[in-house]
Amino acid sequence: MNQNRNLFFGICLVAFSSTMALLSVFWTPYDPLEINPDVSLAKPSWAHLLGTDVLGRDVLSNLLAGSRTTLITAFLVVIITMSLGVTTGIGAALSPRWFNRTAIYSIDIVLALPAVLFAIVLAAIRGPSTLTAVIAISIATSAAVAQVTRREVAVVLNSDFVLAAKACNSNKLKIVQKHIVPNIRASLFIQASGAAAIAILAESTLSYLGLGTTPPAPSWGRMLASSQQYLLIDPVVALWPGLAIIITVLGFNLLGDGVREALDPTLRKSKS
Amino acid sequence: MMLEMHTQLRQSRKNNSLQNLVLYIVRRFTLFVGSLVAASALVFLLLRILPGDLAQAKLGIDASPDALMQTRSEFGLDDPLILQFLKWLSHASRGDLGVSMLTGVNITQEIVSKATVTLPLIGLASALALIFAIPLGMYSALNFRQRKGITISAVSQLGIAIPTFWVGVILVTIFSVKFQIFPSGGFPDAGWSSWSSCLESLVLPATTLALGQGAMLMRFARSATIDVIQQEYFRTARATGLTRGQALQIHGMRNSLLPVVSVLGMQIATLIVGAIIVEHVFALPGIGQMLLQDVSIRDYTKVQGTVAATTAAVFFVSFLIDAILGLLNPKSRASQ
Amino acid sequence: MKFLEVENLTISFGNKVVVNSVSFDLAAGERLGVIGESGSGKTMIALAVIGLLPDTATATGSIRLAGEELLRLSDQQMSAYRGKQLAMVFQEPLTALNPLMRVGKQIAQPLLNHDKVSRKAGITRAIELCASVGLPDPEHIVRAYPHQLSGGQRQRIGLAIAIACSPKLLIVDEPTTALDVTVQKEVLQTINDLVEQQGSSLIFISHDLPVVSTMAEDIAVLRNGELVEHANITALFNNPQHEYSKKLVDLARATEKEFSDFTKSSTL
Repeated sequence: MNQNRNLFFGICLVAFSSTMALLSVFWTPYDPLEINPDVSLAKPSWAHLLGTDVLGRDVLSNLLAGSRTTLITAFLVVIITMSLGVTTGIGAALSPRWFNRTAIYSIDIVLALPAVLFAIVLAAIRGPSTLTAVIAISIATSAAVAQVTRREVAVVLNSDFVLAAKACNSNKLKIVQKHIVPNIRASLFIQASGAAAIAILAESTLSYLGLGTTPPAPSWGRMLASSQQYLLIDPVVALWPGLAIIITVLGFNLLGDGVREALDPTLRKSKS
Repeated sequence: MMLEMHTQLRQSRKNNSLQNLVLYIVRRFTLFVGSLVAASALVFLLLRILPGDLAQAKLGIDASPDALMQTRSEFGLDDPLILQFLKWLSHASRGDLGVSMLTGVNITQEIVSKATVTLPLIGLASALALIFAIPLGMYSALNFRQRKGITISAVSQLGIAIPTFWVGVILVTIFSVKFQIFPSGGFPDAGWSSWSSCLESLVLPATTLALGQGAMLMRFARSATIDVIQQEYFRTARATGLTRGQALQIHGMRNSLLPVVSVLGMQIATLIVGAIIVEHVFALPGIGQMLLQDVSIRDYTKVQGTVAATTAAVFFVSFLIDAILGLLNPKSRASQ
Repeated sequence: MKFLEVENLTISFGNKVVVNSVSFDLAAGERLGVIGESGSGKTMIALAVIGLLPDTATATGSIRLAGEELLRLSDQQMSAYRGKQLAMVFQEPLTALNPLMRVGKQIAQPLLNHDKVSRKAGITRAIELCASVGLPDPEHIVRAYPHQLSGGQRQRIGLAIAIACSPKLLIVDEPTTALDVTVQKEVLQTINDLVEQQGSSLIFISHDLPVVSTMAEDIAVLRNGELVEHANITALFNNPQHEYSKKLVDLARATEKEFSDFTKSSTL
């Protein structure tokens, strides 16, 4: 662990963000929604460690509360994405050739529509909300997960020990359990952390564009959007939500890289 | 005897090579058309069925049944869905995306006029990203155990964690607000006739977009180059007396650029998303900004047309890149 | 002063020592067979001589080629030696060649680099080299891609690349291990002829004692990074000193009998 800096920092950063989110459930310095026009756009001080926004809301509190939205979204997205993506991937790899091919092509099509574009379409229909964002990001990302999973399962299916198992007449479900899952476990974890990173970036982007989390729920993306108008007066307010996003996303990315490094440092994993 | 067989085999392999290439491109093109139709159908369905009755949406809740009926027949909403789609498809394949049900503007015209902002933006950003990211990625791979390599890699790791919109806002803060070098947004109304001020308006947005793309490209170039460096044939090249850099230039270029080129296809999609974001940050009147506005006023038909056109562009670029890859990599077409 | 002098060469990866204080010499035109199982460090020694050890390895001791201390040279300086003064043929013919480049170009590369010949002259010379390594139809074969050739042919291309600039020292690492038995003999013969023609020194590395014995008279036996025995081939076969060498000789005797039985019974 000492030599795997990626893993170390990854765990630290993710733990940091999670702790902040958890903390915010019980306590924040101020009520993030409390409007206080007297202290509008205050500079950082002991009273407000990161200052206030245009409506006098404490930036730090909003940051903490925003981490809740962010991490819950990431969590939901990861769960949906991984369930959908992995089952599709495994199913496609295990099914007869024609179905496999159709699946590959359909996945490629869905893959081409990026999450944000899909979210825009969805927002046009259902109106913006966190749920819209979650659905859109999940569907788009699960396509990528399905693609990678399918490829990896196909590789495992072709390997000698699975052929041997088939020769011994193990039924398909057993093959999945005993052989496939253990071999792709590591890759699944890495994909999950990647999906979390994507989810966080996508959610904050969508909130920034007004297509995701709607007021009054706190969100890092929207914090940034609302601070943009006042850059002339107080440029520093825009700094904090961005830093929060960077730290959290970096954490998940490093975590994924660290796990990859820890599990096969000598083997080079082919990404494609 | 062996020699004759050998020559014959080689001749047929030569003819096969060209045949293979043509077949490969034809297959890719069919895939392109097929996927496009399927994706358009998907978007069509989503935006015709899910919003509910489009005529109602246009006319409002108090609309009279007569008015609704008239609107429906006017826009062909009474036809079975498949017919509606096929009609739309046949028009769209000729470049006619129809008119917006809400505002009546010609969709194709609107897209084309906004494209004069978006396309240069994307082009500039891609050029910037490619020029800086690929060499840096390769350099960091050549030195991947030394400090310079590790630093560059760490920077790119940071780069992919930074949200595009934040970079935009930071750049605006520094270059527009503090130092007042570039405009903080907007685009000259006169369009490209005053091209120097147009370029001025595009510098910050393009740089913002390029930074995000660049970080990702850098990582791909780096890992592709490291893959090459660790190959046996790289070692053979070094054994003949080439330095690392020379060996990379002579043997590594094609091999390490191939994965990067194939990733470019995927990058188009993220570029478009980035363009949407950047246009919003810098208030540029491009396709992205138009799309966002149409979504907020619920102009379903226009959104559908725009997304279809965008998807077509993405798929087309993917197809082009696949064709180029087939040209560059003799192995990918030989295995048919 | 001998042509190649290796003195107390120690190679380690961090704390793990893979080659422990190995010493041997080689005179000009002489041949040395290095035998050991995988993990014995034989490839590492070869890589150390040619200066292509992995970044994570450290080498101490001395490797002198015609008096010049190789371990003290920078990568840039060493690049001038590689391919010109000394060359190496690697084990896996499939992966040792660039899959996206025609083999003729790959052969011509060292000529372009060291002798600064024109591209055309390089290809002409490549055709000649293909002929001298025993490849059929050299004029057409130079335009082939590696995946279009057989294993034996690829290994010969590897040879051609190595001898392109007529190096004075040729190192071959398990050149026939990945090949069919029927092809092995031919490739070995080719190596033998080439080395005789050019009068270069040869270091032949293998895990297979019978094979090594056909190529060199002077044998070094390596085990777990240690040089356990270094003797003339006849002396080794008749009177192996070390435990391990004894095992190797016994095994060689047994397989040689099997091998000759096989060749008698096959119809080739």
